[in-house]
Amino acid sequence: MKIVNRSPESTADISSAKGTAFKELRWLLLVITLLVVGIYLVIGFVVDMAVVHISFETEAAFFESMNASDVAWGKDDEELRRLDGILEKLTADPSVPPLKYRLQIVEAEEPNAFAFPGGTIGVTRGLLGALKEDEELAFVLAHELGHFQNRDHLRGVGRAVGAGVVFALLFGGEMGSGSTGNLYHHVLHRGYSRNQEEAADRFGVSLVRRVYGNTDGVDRLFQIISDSDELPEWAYMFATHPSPEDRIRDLKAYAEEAE
Amino acid sequence: MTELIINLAIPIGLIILAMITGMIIESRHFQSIRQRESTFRGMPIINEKQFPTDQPIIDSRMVMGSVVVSNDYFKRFLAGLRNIVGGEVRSYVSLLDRGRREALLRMREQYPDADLIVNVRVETSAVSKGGKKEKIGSTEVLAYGTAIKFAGESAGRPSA
Repeated sequence: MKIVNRSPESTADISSAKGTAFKELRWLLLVITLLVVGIYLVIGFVVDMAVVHISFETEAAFFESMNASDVAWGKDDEELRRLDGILEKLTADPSVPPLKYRLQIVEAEEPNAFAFPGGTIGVTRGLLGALKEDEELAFVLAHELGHFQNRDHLRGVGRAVGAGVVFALLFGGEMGSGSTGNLYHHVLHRGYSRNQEEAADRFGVSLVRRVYGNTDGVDRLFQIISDSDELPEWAYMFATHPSPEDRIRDLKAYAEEAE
Repeated sequence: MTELIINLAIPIGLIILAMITGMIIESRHFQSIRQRESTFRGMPIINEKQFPTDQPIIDSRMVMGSVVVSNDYFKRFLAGLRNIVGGEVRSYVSLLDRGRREALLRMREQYPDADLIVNVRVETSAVSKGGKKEKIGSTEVLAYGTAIKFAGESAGRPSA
């Protein structure tokens, strides 16, 4: 038997200078980024296709089971009662989708309002403090009702749920840390698009006009927002809401159209 | 914001840390493996039980070498990405290659004066595979065989 002295020539070393660890990392990150972006676009497309086929009755019935308890909504809150009265006036209008609307105070300083699936409208304590007139509050609520009318809240939830499921399937097992799920939540959970906001504004203006007969409250509202606005004008290029000045201009145009 | 930093910065920080430390350790380990392998070039290892020889054997003993090598966050990250798209998991190939070669070297280092090691076997097992997914596993590689010492001047012994 002849034995030749020889050291192994090939090596699986990926970490040395000639190694391929970085190449591998670059390639994998590129492919998976493309995959994730592609999946996100497909989910958005499918959700947009699907939401128009969900009736308001189905939506109300589905989310009813989730918001079963009325206790947590703070019925005895005086500000909430006032807001409830405004909401009742608005929802009596036939253009408002037939959902079971509920109000919830969100304990936050920043003036803001949210439309949650199933007809829940969240209003921050800060907003209630900033707005005194009924008509101003009415426009805020009417704007959120516009999101319900356009199914924007369902689109948002549909995207978040779809993306959550797909990414849990993709990364859930091997990527280890459970925090990756939260990461996608942060990255993907953006607000509504500017087009959606403008459509909700339009709906809000026409609803307030029909119910209150004028849109003076809307003008005052945006003057308040504009005065307390901390973002510089250019920042609105990246924001989902149009700048207050743009909104006032657009809203005046809608109001005149509605005349 | 704080939540984002905790959720994002800590995992990414761990991966980058593991990338730096893991790559330094691995490239040094391979350097040491290559250098020691060239020292032992003259000591053949074969996996046959029988071998033809006319030299008298004066000593034989069992030798074994084992090593436990740890996975790291960076390797696991690369492997996790690989699991999505498929293909060779290179980050684990290099881990196991280190383990096998190190185990064979430690086996030979048990009897540096041997002329030949026969009936060599290599076994691999996962140590602390990690029941929870947060745990980082490691692998054990065991190599064993029978070291033979012939009578007279060794033919192919390492000169060093």
